[in-house]
Amino acid sequence: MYWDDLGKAMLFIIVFSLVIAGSYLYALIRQMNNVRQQRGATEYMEEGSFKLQEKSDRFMYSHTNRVRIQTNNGSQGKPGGRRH
Amino acid sequence: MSLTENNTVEQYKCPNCGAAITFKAGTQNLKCEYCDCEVDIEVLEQYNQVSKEEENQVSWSDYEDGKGGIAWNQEESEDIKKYSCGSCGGTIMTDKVTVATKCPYCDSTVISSSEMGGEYRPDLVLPFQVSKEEAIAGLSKYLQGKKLLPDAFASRNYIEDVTGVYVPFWLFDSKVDGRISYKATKIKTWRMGDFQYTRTDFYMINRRGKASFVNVPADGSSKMDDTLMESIEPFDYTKGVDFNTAYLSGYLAQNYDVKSGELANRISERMGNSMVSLCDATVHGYSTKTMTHKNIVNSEGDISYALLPVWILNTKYNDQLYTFAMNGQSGKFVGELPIDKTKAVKYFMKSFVMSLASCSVVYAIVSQFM
Repeated sequence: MYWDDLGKAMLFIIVFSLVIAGSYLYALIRQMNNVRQQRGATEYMEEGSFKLQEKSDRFMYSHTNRVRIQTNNGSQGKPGGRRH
Repeated sequence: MSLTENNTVEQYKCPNCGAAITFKAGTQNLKCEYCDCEVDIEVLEQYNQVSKEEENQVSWSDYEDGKGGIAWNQEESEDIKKYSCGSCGGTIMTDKVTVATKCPYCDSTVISSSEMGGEYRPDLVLPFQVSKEEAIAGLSKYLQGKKLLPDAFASRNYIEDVTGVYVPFWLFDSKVDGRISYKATKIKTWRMGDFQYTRTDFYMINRRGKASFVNVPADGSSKMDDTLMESIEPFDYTKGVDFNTAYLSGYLAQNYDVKSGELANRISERMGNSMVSLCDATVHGYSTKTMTHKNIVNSEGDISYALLPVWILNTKYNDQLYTFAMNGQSGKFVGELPIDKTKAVKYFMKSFVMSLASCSVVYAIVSQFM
């Protein structure tokens, strides 16, 4: 049991360390290139020119889902739903 | 369902599952037999109407077809020398005193002078505000702290390789009208008895906004990388002046070889993205939101032709050409640097070992108390 837990812990530590090292390397590689396409053109928008002319939030429909709460004896809930 | 102009029956579809939806007399609503979704007729009509609208409409005509440009006059043509690169075919111009010895696009030395003519005179020029010395200092600053930079690249002297180039840009003006629709949800969860309930309310969100954009730049040179040029933005046009050949003294320049019409879709996309972001910021209070439709219309479009200042640095490393650019007005420096693979492996292994050691120590301490 002890060796089993230790093995799992070591595997987790190795995978976690690989992710950390990979993320660090990715950050270093990204730092080497700052050429990026512009997404928008907000810098060239005339100041104060944005006007919101329509703003509507309309309810369409709803959906209710019901799941039985799992109890200690291990019985699982069945999902059910209805829409209106 | 409703009758269309051709007397055919229009079939409505459920906004939730896409199945056919039918009218329910009891509630005076439309109901889906498959997923039980029930929707108000007026809401569904509005939802369908928005979905049918065209996505984008662009209204710029080509610079040549629209207001048109002004041709070079005789005096200016005599003051300007034009060079052609025998390697990449790029053409550059400068005043008759400055001598071009290298192509700023491909770093080739095979360039020859030729006659001016044929092209339009720029409407506007932004004079250089950053000196060559500041451009070189900007490069040194950019190289600082780059752990993966090859040592041979970092130790080079780039003073002779930096060239000031006036790059041709099309500047687009437009009023943008954007209609954005979203499907949003509000999710509420509660417990009652042995059950957990999750209620999801679906909303149709509509936003319509207008905004004016002025002088959105698009690089009109086929030799210059478009992404590289977008990366050095923004430019401040309040410092812009009418074109005069005197500004070319000591610098190179290029006439456009990409027509404005070819760039209109890209500019429309950028303006549209800004409109979406502005409308997005006005949708609050929902658990999730998904954009279902956008309709961006550009109107009152106008185009100008400008020369914008860019410091260009071309350098070869391991037989590969690396091009860097600096905004000649703001000093913003951009470029892709070479990567030393040995250093990359070294830093990966170093961080892996450090993380492994730290996690092992933490695990050993924690397991003592468990």
